[in-house]
Amino acid sequence: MKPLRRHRPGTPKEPDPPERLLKLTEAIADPAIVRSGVTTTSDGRWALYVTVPADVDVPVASVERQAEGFPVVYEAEPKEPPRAGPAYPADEGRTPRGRK
Amino acid sequence: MRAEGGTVATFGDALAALEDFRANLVEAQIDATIPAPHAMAFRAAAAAPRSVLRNVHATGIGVRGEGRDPRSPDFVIKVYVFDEADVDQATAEPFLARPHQGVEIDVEHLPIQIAFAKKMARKTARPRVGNPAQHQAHIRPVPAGVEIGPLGGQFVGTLGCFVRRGPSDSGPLFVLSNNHVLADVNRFPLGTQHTQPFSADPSDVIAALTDFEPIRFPAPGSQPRNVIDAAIARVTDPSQIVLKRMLNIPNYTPQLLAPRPGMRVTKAGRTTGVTTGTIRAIRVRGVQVNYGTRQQPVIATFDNAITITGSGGRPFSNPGDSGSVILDQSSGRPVALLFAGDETTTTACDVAAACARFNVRPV
Repeated sequence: MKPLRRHRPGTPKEPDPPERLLKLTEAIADPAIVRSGVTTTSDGRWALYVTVPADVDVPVASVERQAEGFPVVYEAEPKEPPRAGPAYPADEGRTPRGRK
Repeated sequence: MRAEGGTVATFGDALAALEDFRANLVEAQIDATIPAPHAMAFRAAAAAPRSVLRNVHATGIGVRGEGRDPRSPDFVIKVYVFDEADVDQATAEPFLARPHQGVEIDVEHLPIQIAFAKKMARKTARPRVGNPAQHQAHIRPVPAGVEIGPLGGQFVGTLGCFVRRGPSDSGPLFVLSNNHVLADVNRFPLGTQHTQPFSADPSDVIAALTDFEPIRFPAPGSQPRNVIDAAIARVTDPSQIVLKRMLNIPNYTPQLLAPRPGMRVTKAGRTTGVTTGTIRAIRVRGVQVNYGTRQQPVIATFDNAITITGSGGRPFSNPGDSGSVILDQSSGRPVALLFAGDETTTTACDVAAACARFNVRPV
């Protein structure tokens, strides 16, 4: 099975994620993992969130072993990293106020 | 046909599989439309083979119910094609012949339908709240959620919210936004003036850069991690702004709240106006963010990030929405600070960490 493109988490059944899960996001290690974090399953259980390349078969055995019984949600890493950038009004045909 | 393991797929199984199926379908349709280069070389004069995937015009979830117990329906992914002949051909298309994440796929004929009168269709397409043009206009007094940019500069972002330093109501007021909006990724000197909206007119200045958390980039022997993309600018004339107000978000409540997966969120930004979405994951480590261009990427790595999906398949944000403060939709309380995104996912940082860094609180 291939990883999900976009996971749909449910409302958490417990208000706060377990401390053990938070520590796990920092300790988890596998060559396939790009990101790790915290999410919930679609039915609201706290879960380990990992992204892996889109062509990796999941579940990944070593990740499941390290997950200490927490559910693992696998998402496909995007093809390109997200971009942090402003907008350029000139590209929208706008000139700044006060300049003609 | 059954779900994997011989079990019947529930509605939840089908819903979970549908979104991923749709994403894969789009890719498969693109592949079917644009032949691979080697295929083109070998079939230079031949037309591209016709694929049934190119005639798929709708997908959804349905019940495969004939002859089954109606109390335990078998949910499947429904794929609709224009031509009746395509239904038979679909069995030869590997993408449609196999179950997706354990959920079976039914291909059915559905001719083109006109769902809405023109007037109704136009109404549906209109944003529900918050015309983006309003968020780019000159507004006095200035609320949160509007366009801001350096005086006489070339770019703009969003004024996330106003924040105040100190416990009393007399402490100094600041604008909270991103480093890459207020400080141009570590480049602007402190004191750089910012206008609302995009302007070269000094009378439009509302704030001056006061502090920013530097964005750290990899260097030989150093792989730094970032947590926030944030900066503050001191409000030059408090009489020109309005507190406790975010444009087109009536329930804005300036009290921090912890983000949670599954939380429905909203924001007001200068490019897309008011949008809604859902938090997908929190405390995400190892998020690589491009501060350069597609052709010349400049990558910084972030920990403790928050990822968000827009509602209804629409983007939650676009360039220029950077700096928007993201709110819990039901309470109007700030949960995150928007700073990056791609076509499907918005990436935000911890707004509480940003407030702690500058020793400020939303007002």
